[in-house]
Amino acid sequence: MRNSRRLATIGFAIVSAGALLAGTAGADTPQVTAGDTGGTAQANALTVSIAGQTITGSAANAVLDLGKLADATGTQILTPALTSAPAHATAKAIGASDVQKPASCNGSQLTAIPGINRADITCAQAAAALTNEGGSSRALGAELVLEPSVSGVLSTLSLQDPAQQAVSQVETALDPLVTALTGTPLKDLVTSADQTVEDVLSKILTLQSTARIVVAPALAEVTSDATTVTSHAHAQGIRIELLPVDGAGATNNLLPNDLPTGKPLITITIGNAEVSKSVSRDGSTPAKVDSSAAVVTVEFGSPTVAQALGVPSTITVQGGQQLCIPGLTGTPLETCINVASAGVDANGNPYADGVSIDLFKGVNGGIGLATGRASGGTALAALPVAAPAAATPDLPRTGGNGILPIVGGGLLAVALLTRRFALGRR
Amino acid sequence: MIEIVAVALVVAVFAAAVAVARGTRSRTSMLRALDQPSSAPSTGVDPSAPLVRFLRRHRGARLTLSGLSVVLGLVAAGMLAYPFYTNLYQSRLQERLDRQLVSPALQQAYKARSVGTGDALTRIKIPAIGVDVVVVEGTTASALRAGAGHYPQTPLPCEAGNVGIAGHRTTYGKPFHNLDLLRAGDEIILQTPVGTCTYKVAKAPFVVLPSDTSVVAPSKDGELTLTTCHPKGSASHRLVVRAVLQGPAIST
Repeated sequence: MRNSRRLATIGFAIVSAGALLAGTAGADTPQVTAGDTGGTAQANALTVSIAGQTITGSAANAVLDLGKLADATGTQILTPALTSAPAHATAKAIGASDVQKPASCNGSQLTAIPGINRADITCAQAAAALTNEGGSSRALGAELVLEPSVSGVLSTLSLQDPAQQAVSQVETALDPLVTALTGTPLKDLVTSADQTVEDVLSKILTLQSTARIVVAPALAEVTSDATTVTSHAHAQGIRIELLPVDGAGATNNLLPNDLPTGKPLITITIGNAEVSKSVSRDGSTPAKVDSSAAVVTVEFGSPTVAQALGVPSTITVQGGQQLCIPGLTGTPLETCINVASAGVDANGNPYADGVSIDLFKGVNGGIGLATGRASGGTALAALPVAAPAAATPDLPRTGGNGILPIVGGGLLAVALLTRRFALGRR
Repeated sequence: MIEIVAVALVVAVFAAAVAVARGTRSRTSMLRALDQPSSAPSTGVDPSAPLVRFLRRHRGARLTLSGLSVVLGLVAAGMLAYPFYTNLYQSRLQERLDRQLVSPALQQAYKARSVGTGDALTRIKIPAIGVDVVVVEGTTASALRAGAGHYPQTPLPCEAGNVGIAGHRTTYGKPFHNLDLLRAGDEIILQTPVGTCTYKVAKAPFVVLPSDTSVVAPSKDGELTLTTCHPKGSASHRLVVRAVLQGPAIST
């Protein structure tokens, strides 16, 4: 009995010590599916970075772990600023199914983010089902139209150095471009009332906006029947319109009138980044893999503009190439396009890297666009599954579970007690 | 301080255990006694008596129980030592990050905005609570083993906008252990590969739910948001400190 009291005292002391010890650490853990058969697919259609802020426009993620899990997530409005949940469907038992197709989703908040003037959004969708034969998971990310507020940034670029009352580097850089386009040197266009690059642009063009980005949704799907597992990821096309003008006469007679009404000065069209992989469940036939990288075309709205810049009216940028639009290089409007590649990784899973575009690099870092990343795999072993980029569920855990040391203390007490019994002590 | 108290308590626990062991007979004499009926039966009712009798008759059970007690002891020791291990790990990692932060390669990557997750990004100093650690890029579990990590979706330190940094409240060096002690006006200094800037705490720390990611939402003004778990040893809430940039933002 005396020993029992001693043990109780020890146990109490251990628990007290455990309670005082710091808790264990934890943090957001990558999700992992484990299954003998199944597949994953992921597609990111657009990531926009404006002055250091990042927004993912459309992303989709699908997982199928046969007999155990079908899970699909399509992003709604992806920005770390918002807590709106993505469209998420999941099925965890054979015969179960789930469809999430919201009629409306929050979108107005997006325009409250600095750098975004307008956002029109079509909601994301997700569906998941498990059947005796197989199952399916399918996610469609949000479709949206974005108008970044570049003009706000352009208005911060002064044409003259206020301290030295001299022509600034900005004006020096812009002069060849403006002269080539309008036939008039920049200094003849600028008066004392013109202070910024935006003032000059407004003189030359009447703009609807400075840039417009139209994003088709990202699609990710994994399907299976009794014989085959197929995963498919598709980052669909994106159109970027630079300097879309506002109707007829919008060039203020400073540019040749060969620019069709309402057409942007430059249109960048990004094709699809698409991958797919099919595997027979019994391994009787080899896996079939397809991948294609996005091909980019740059089209100038006016042949005269293209001529002034010294380029063809339409330029095609193939995979693995980089193009900085001639004529804009060295100016605040410098715009470069990188087209990555498509292929098959070391695990035999296809990927297609889309396009990264730096718009107006000379303006406070400009606007960065990363588009068309698609990857997919059919897994006969476990595959790691990354959640859609901006589906930031929670602030990261940095404290953890404080119960672990207490459990440790309790276990130590049990160990001591067990040891005493093993030795035959009461 | 808490480690000293904890270590003292653990030592006291083991000392007590040793004292208990010394107050009993040796293992050899005990095992001998197991083979004989007790000559002085206890006057009270001992609920463990059937178990003890069973163990006296089955040597295999005694050995199994003995082995189990050793395993349990090791697991318990691991659980109790875990926080100390994480602090040691973080300390060694910080030494490597110290060197990385001043390397030309990192400066180049920083300017190209391509610092990888887990790589050194900036140094944070909070004189009021004695914080001086290197912050890494990213807030994944592995990145945060460095103690503090930068929210990758927020601007780089010292840039315009709302810069977010998460740090451990407990374990892994627990750099943000005393974040709740900050008061308005306290200085927070960030030293990046391209410059140094100072923020001042705007208001007293406040608590939000983990799902409230609006605290790291973009903003126009230069701001710094520090987050950590709350209360200490729990992840049920997050403690948030908001600070305002003093002077012009640094453009990378």
